[in-house]
Amino acid sequence: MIRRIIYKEILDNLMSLRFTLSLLLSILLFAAAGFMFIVEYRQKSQGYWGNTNENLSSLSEQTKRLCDVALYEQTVYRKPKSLALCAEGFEKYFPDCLRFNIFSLLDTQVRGQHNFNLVGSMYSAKVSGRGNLDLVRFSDIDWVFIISLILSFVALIFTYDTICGEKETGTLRLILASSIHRHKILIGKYIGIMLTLGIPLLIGLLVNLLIVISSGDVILNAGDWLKILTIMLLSFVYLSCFVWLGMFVSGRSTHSANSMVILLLAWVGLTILIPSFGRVISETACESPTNAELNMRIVEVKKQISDDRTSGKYGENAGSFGSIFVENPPGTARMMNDWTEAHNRVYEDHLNKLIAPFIVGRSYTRFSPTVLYQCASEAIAGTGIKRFETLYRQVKRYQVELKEYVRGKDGEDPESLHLLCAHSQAISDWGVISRKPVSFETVPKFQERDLALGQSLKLAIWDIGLLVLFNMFFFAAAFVSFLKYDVR
Amino acid sequence: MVWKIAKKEFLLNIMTFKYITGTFMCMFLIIIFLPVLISDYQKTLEAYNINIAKNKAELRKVKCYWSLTPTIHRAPTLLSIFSRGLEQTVPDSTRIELSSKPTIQPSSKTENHYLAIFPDLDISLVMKIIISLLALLMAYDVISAERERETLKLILSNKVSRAQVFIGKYIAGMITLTFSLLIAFSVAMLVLTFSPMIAVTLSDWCRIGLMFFAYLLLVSAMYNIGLLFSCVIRKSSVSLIFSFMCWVIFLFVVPNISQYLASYILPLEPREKVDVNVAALKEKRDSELKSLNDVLTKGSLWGGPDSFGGFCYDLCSPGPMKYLNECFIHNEPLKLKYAQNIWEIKDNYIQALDKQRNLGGKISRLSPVCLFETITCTLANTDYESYRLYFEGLRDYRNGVIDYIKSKTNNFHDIVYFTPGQTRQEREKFYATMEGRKKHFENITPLALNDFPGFVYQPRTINESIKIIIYDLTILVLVNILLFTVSYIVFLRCDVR
Repeated sequence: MIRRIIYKEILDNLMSLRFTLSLLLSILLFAAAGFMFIVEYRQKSQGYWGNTNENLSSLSEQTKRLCDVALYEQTVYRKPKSLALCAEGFEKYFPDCLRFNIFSLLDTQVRGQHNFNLVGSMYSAKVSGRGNLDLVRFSDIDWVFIISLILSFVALIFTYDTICGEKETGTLRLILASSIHRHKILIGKYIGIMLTLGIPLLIGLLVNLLIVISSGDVILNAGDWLKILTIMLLSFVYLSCFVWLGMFVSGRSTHSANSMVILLLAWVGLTILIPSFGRVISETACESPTNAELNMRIVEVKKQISDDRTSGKYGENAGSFGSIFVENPPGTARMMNDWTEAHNRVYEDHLNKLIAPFIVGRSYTRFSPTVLYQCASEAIAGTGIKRFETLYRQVKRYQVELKEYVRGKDGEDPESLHLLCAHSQAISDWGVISRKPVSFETVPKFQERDLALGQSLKLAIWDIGLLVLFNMFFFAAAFVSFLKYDVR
Repeated sequence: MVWKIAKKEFLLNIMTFKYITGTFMCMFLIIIFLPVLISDYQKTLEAYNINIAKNKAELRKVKCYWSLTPTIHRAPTLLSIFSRGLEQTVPDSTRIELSSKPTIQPSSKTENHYLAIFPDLDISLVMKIIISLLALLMAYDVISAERERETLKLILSNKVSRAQVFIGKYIAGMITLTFSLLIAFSVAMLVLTFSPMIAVTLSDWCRIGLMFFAYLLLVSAMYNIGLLFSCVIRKSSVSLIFSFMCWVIFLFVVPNISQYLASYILPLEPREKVDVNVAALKEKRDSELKSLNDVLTKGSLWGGPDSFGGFCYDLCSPGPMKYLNECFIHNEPLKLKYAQNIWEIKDNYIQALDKQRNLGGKISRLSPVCLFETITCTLANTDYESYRLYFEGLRDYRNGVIDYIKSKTNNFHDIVYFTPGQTRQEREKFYATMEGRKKHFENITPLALNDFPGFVYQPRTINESIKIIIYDLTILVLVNILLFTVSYIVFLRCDVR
């Protein structure tokens, strides 16, 4: 019997105007998104490869002396991801390169887009604009945008009259007069609607993928396909939330027009208003640190170290940060290492504080399935803030690796004093780090690794869980209200 | 008869669930958001006042013309509460110096760029969503519901003409919506007048009044769209679906797609290329400049900090003094020349950007919501054009400052340009001891800058604003008339059976 209800629902919907409309809208939007993505991706990857090769070639120039490798400021760029197609994750707002040497992370910046005049001190996170995008604000049209805004709306359009519409036409009575259970009707209708909703979604996604793949610029490997499949599944879970919500409201109201009105208000609240509260929440809950604060703290730390030096912590004649005469290399090295360590701590603290309001704003807006869906698909696609954090962690790991490499090579050189520190004068006067050439092939190079599906799912597990919870909640509500529904 | 119909409709409307919820939501959101926006404004204003005072104090202490590089701060715009526009993106302080010419440059004002992902809130964002939704909700079943309930037949079987019915319904809907708009605006006004530090001038009130008018036009346009679908489609729920499809397209799809299209049609050269060109020019300039540090090799040099982070040379022996003088005579015109060249490169880029933005704006005029947004931004003086004017003012001011310095220092030839310029005896008196040098430097009398030009920026007056928006307003009115006529014709020809 359920099968018959599903069949009827599907046929009913397929012939309706709303189905044709939503199919057209979905195909149009997904196709447009595909074309736009290709153009942008091409541009971005060109820039990325240019910058990365430049970085590597200057690294290879440094291999004439090991100490230069140690002091060389590498710049690692964010690789444009093919899965940004699914969820762009607001990446245009995040720094797209990290600059560091083996001792410390120097800064993060939006390269090529930053302020013309903004030179900034070396030890500060650069505050940067987003270049040409800033004159007008607009969001990227990716899968998440289309599905979370447009298709969730379509889901409501498909469901607003499932129950009260049948009541209005009087067919609900007829169905219930036969020996079928109410819950079977409800589930049958749900499955029917999900299947019909799946058609515009899947066709749209296919069109989008076809456009992107046939361009030849974007290469998707097996892991990417798995992730795409997961995001598709996630989209179904998200849309099912709205389907249950629609059935719930439809089962509570007697007129389909009323049900539509309530659903629209709920939709505006869930998908537009709650996510916009993010800024207010994050600004009232957390204070963003300013660059002035960061600089002040760095000056403080510097002063602390200078005081320690004068009080003789590093031995006599330990020299100062930029001193031209180094008389006590071990002392200088100890002081420099203390300084870089303290500086790194301050800097990392600053970065964490910068990200904190963002995370608070996001977590308090999780009342909305839209935000949950956004977060989850960003995590799976490997974009957004989580991606930036992973990149940051990978860079730090690479830093350690490179440092170990320098230490190892340095150990082989009998002339070196084996004191790793960032004091250029101490290096040139005393050779605290080996000045022998190394071969470029042996120097470890940075490679950004994508997280495997399992790891990304682990990041998204809470969001997915909450999304399922939303589903269950709306399902229970729809179930109860339909069981008690007065068909007269 | 029109009035009777309007009155009946109005009374019916005002008691509906959707109307009460919509109006309540509007009020509620304004009460939540307005204090946040106002406190934001107050904070910026406070910082601005402190900066202005600091700037004045620094200006009083300037010892030589060389370090005369005041930083100009931009006063926050009060009406940005109503329409954010570019207020948050344009930098709010600009240094006036020889080596760079101010340009409007996109940069985030807030130091935390991660927060940029949350949409920027202002009153118009909240209101345009809720109010336009409410207008559609009021309109979608005006005709179709009556047809469904078959009351339309009854009405039309009377002596009343179709025109009267239609106009009556339109007037009633507009009165109801105006009513809720009025409530929302008066709540906003009350909060605004009773918050400290906020001075609303007469012209601001006029602007707010004009914004109200723009809101009315937007609401009317949305109402007309709903009305049209309600006339065309028999079932009110289907008419609702169509109206909302339109709403989603106008509010979300058109603004986003139009900018994309614009960047596709008029692609920009990558910003990095501009950066590289600018960096190359700067390098070239630096290689051409005579290094002031070389003076170290030519003899003793003494100086101290000046205001605005500058440096003031003092107590030089004649040799280095002469060298420094030559350096400045050579360097300063060069700096000016390169500043001009660098500015031209940047300006080209920004003009291309502006063209793209303009095109996007033109395409987005398909949607009444975008038209409305352009109007409110212009009224609030937070649109691109007013910031461009502001930066033009800054450039003029920089020219004024340069002319002033040139006139005072004989076109950089005089040594007062970089040193307080005492007589030799005066200097040598203090030259003997280290203590004396320090004390002497503190005691140098600052420059008398009584005739130093001040920066005044007059934001666009209300007349100018009106002149700019009149075009968009006309389009919005025309859209209204068109929609109204079409739905009227459809209604005249519709079959009431």
